[in-house]
Amino acid sequence: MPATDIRPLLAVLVGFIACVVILIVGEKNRDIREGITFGAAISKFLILISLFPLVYEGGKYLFTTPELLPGISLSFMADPFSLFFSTLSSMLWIVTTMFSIGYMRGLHEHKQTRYYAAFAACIGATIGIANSANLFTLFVFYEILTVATYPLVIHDEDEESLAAGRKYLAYTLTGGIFILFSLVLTYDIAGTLNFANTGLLSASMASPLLLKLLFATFIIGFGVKAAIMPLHSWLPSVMVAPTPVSALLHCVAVVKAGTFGIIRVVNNVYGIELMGDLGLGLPLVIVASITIIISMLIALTKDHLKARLAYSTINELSYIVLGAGLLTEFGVTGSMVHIANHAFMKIGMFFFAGTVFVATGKEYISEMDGIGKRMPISTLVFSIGAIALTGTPPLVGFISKWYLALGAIQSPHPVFVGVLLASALLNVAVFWPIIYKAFFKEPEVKRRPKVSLWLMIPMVFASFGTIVLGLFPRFPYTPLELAFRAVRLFLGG
Amino acid sequence: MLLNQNQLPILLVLIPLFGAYLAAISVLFKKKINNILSLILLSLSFFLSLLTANHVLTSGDISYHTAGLQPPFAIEIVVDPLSALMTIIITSLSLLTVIYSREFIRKELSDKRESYYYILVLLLTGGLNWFVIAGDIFNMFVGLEILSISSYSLIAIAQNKEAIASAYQYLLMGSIGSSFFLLGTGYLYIMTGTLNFADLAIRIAQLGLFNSEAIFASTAFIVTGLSIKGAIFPLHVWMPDAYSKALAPICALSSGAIIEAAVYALIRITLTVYGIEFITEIVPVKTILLWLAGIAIIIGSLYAISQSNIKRMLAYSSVSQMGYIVMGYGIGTQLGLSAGILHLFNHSIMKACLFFAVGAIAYKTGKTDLYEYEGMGDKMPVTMMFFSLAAISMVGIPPTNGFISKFYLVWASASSTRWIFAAIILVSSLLNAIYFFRIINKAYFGGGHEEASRDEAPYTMLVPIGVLAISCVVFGLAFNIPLSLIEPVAEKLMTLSLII
Repeated sequence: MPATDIRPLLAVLVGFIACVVILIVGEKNRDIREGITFGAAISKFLILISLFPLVYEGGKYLFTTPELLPGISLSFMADPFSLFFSTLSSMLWIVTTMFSIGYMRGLHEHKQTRYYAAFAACIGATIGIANSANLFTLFVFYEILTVATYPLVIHDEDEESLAAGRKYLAYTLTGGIFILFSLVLTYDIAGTLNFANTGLLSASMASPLLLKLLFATFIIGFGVKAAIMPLHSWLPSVMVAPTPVSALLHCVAVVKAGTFGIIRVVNNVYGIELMGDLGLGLPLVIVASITIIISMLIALTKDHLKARLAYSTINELSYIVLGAGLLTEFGVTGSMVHIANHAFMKIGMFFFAGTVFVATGKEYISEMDGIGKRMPISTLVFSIGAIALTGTPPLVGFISKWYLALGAIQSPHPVFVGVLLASALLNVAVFWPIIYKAFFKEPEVKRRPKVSLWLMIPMVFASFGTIVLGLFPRFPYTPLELAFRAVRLFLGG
Repeated sequence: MLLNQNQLPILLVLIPLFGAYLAAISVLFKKKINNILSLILLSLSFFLSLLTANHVLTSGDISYHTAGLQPPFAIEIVVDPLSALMTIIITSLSLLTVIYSREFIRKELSDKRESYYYILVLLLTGGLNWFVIAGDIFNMFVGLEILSISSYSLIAIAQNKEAIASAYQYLLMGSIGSSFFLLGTGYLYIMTGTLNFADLAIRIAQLGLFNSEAIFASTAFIVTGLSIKGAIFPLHVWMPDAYSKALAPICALSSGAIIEAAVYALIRITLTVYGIEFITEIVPVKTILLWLAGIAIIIGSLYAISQSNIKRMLAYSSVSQMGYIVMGYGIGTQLGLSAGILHLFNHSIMKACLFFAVGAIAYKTGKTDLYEYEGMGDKMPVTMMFFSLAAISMVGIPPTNGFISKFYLVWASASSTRWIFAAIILVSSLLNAIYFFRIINKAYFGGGHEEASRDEAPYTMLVPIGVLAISCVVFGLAFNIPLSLIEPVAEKLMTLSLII
């Protein structure tokens, strides 16, 4: 029996309450405003941490509100997978807030109140997605996230960012209607939308053809935010947003909401067994593999640092999708743990891009000759992230790739280990030139720019995570341990 | 209780109608009293409509007969949960309109016309209430005439040439609609000798009139007549012109209650008098309307996208939204009918809110064009916030009532395997996103921040806008409240079967 507890909902509400309070406090009291963001982020994190012990021991928290329709309610839960995602997002919100303060004040950005308020709403929505106990609740917050991200994407309010905003909405709202359609159809054939550990659908509910088509519409829907090719092209465009937004939302919260949805659909809507019976894993893995390779080839051609990082994100997101499609214990574990691992690696790299922009105004790789000599610590953070991305032990990237490879070997299609290896090589090709330029070329200007601590601490934290979680992946309460627990539930254990 | 609860519904008609006369007299003694007077009378009507709904839900339908006779000879008034819901929509919207009009009308109209305005609003409310609770088709016609004539005048009252021209166009089309309705009624009376809804249904079945050409003709006339009144595509052409010239509160009332009432009547008459089988199998009214609705949804949205005058845009959006309602009805299942009527309720909240907000902006700044909205988010933040909330609801983002409509309509289409209509609804929500986000973009992110100094609409205007905008969210979660009034009737209407 799951324990009834309001905390899963409370963690969601904190974000939305913070959003309103920030709007009221406004620009005049900016220290108070940022204090509220911090307070909300930390209290959210603590609320989620307090849920850990029971969930870790195999329990579950559930908070249901009255049913809106038979079998449909706004309900919140904390199971290992939801805690995995919600804790990750709220923890990174704390560090990103720090970074935001350094970045936004460093650049004297306009409309900071709107920025912090929208940010708080986004995180509230992300936790809502993570903690939702059914597909309906997940969809509600998924759509709120779409809208709440919009003011952040168009923050600059120039032609380019408005165009990116239009593209973003066109893609994500279209994805949204695919999800809505799938969700309605699921409700029509199953009569419920509550996530079940081993899947809420069963083969007897509808014809195999219908179930396959339904799966396709689900994947198209969630695939937009998960940036599966060819639904990815909004992601490089929204890199016009301020860098902390790219760092937290377009590398953790928003895009991983898409992959989170895919993992929920695979495991909790269909169930691994039904997925296997219908033969749905292989198409998913193939689509993901194509994305993995092509995105890296495109990344090679990009000179804009954030654009290159965006394509690398597309690449890494598809690792997650690939793992989910393998339908094996280690495959799904690897897929899940990669959500956290990629977050630590990539957020540090985005922070580097942001710090360079604040300190020197440079955005293009070709301008970054010798940047390592001018900003050694920041560049080191970037390099650690890049090395981890290629899958070098003992960093976190290795952990995910190890389990993904094991998962592929467990599955009937071990050939996909080859995709992982090829992608690792491509990652070297994409990131090595940057590291080389940064450390081994002479800078035009020798002066060392001053980097504020607000920017430095978050970067160092990301690197710290990348290293520690790589060295001690199986310590208690690490993402990997949570992922194992989640997968055990999904396999019916 | 002082009065018999069965007499509640007749008061819903009498209070506003006699109130109109009272207003006409009292203005002779004291100028500017009409706003307060109509406020009091409509609050009372609104309260009574809530009481009626409560009574209907707890102790069953109300059937009230005038003149001490029994139907079919007496004038019968029938209130079931659905007509109770309609009276709630009508009285609440007219009450909000009167509150909103206090400042608005004072600026727009001369003193003399101001007193006419409130008289006409009271007449309109009385007519609408009469129209929706009538138990026979002739009384329905009487209600229709009262509401039509007062609405023509209300559109023309704006006092400029264009308003008069567009009201004249509306008058011409509306009169054609009314006469068609009357012709259809005449055919029914000739063939059956009765006018009472329940009695008509029985007589048509008893006399075996299902293949009678006169009955076919009556269906055609009544459906066409009501389609004109309800602005159902392709008979919507009067609406964009009328709305773009009329006063904003009248647009809100018209879009939120008048065209809704006409569609309600269409649903009510076709399903009670003719029955679901007749309109499905013998005369394919339902199928025709379903496809027309599908086209209306897409074309209406495309027209809305191409407008730059916001009131015109909202009018075309209404064409598309009426399509949603008719589509729900045309799907032909109980779920579809509930979905359609639920959208009727939701649409009147959202659209009235949007018209009120647009009116408030025009009142303060004189701006009516989408490209003039730059910086409006800073200039009138509260109004724009409510506008955006209603706009987001129109797009169907959860947790708003527009999302629930969308959910229900897609569900109804999917469960009857009409995939194309599910697709139309979903695509239409994207088209809605195009034209609503364009306004929100202009208002908040379109530059023009420098010149903006805060200049908010008066409270009497903000309150109605706010009540409606917050209702969008409230009924996005508490949609069980309208559904509890809709579902019993939807079930009854879909299971009435008189073909023996």
